[in-house]
This record gives sequence, C-alpha cells and structure tokens, in this order.
Amino acid sequence: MALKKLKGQNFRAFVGGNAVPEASSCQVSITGNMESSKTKDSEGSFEQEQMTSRSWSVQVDSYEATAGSLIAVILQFLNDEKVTVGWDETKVVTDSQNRTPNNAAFARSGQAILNDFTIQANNRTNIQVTRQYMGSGALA
Amino acid sequence: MDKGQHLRLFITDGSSDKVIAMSTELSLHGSAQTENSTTKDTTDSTGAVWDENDVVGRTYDINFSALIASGTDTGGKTFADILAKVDDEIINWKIALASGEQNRTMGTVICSGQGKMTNVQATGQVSQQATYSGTINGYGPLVAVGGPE
Repeated sequence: MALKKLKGQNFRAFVGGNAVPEASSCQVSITGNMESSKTKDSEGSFEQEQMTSRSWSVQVDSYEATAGSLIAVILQFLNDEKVTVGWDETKVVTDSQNRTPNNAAFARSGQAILNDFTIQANNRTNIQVTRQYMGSGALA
Repeated sequence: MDKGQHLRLFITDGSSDKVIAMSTELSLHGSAQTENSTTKDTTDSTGAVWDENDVVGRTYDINFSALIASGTDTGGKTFADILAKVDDEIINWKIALASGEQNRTMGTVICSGQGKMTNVQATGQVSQQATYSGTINGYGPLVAVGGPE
C-alpha cells in the first residue's frame, strides 16, 4: 500500500481528547535521556551511552479569540491536575473543522503538565497563544 | 474575533485602572518549575522508564511595548509614569479586553495580579518612532476568573 503524504494541518495536537482549536502549528518531541556506560574496560575513544529514561513534550501555537479561551489557558496553567495530551492525524469530515482524530499508527497520548505558556497580543494581529506541555509518565 | 489591540494591560492607579498609553505589544508568559518524580515503579508495559514530573513552583512575567510621547495623559500610563515604577514598588495590574474611545474601556478581565517593574528599555532611532518596552515580574499569584486565589 502506497504511503500518503500528510499535510501539517492534518497533524494535530489533542488536549483533553479534543483537537486544540484554531491551532496553527504543533511540535512534538520525544527524548531519550542517555547515560555514559564507558568503563576502564572500554576500548577506543567513542562514547557508549545507554538510554536511562524517556521524556516527551508537545508545543502548540493557536489563535485565541475570546476571553473564555484565554482564561481557560491560564486556569490550566494554574491547575495542579495533569491533562491528557497527544497527537494524531485528523481526517476530513463534514463540519468537523478538521478536528476528527483518525487513530493513525503514530498517534500517541499521555498525561502532561502545562508547564509554559505565552499569550501574545500585538496591535492589528490575532492574539496568539503558545502552550508547552511536559509529559509526565508513559506515552501510549 | 478579538484582535491584539483589544487585549490591554491596565495599571491600577488609586481607585482607577489605566492602560499603557500608545501601547503596541503585550505578552504574558507563565512558566512552571517542575521536579522529576520518576520512581522505580515508573515503567510502561515494555519495561521502559518514562520521566514523571510534578509542578513545584510557578513564575510569570508581562512584557509590553509602547511609543514614547511627550506631554501628559490623564487616562493612561506614559513612559514617564512607567519609569517611576522601577522602584521595587508593588504594582497592581490587570489584563483585560478593551473597547470604546481609544480602546481604553475595560471589559472582561482575563487575569490580574501584582508585580514589580524590573526592566524598562527605550530606543530612539533616526526617522523612527521612539519606543520603549517594559517588563513586570509577577509578585505572588496570577489570578484568573474561576482559578485559585
């Protein structure tokens, strides 16, 4: 079966099970945290690292147009509760606003903390919000 | 749809709230300090260890930019007013939607709090508008409607 190229608008971040509305971009990062395993027995000058743990994060940029949506971002930042964050391909369904998850093979989700946000309001432009979620626990 | 010019920073002055006069940019940035709480139990079904994190502290700051103007403005905070605030003084602020004449009538308050003006920078270049920018570091809690006090 031939692979189909995926456009950026169909690679979306989901928070609390819903696609982030009015999103313009998202970035996903999974990092293997490495530790040197070189010993005095190791030969050569090159490093030999072992993966000790994995961490992940999701960043989303979106345009927020209402007081309610801006307040919701701040409340999520102030809340100690973790939230389900993930990513998926979206499929086009009539009136779905491109927010319907397609359960792609690469879709993942897990619990995360909203650990960083910026609300940017410049003259004559849309109000932009950047959110960064830090994963806490495994991706599934 | 509200645009950037409708979201403004207000500084409380006595019993009134005054906008930053001739402002052009505003940003609110929040950051949570986290502690790695990964334990020996923190493994997935394959045995891989995934980092767990908990929030241990939060900070925020507000950055704004505006044009420098001579004269006084009874309805807004000017460059001169802001300069006087770099004084370890606690400032009460609000970020709110604004409308009306000069876009200065406060509407829905998005968030509020206290802070200290920690940095002001001004720029004057030939043939360009003189501008300045300011930074308020949050002092105490960031308060939003429906959130913790």
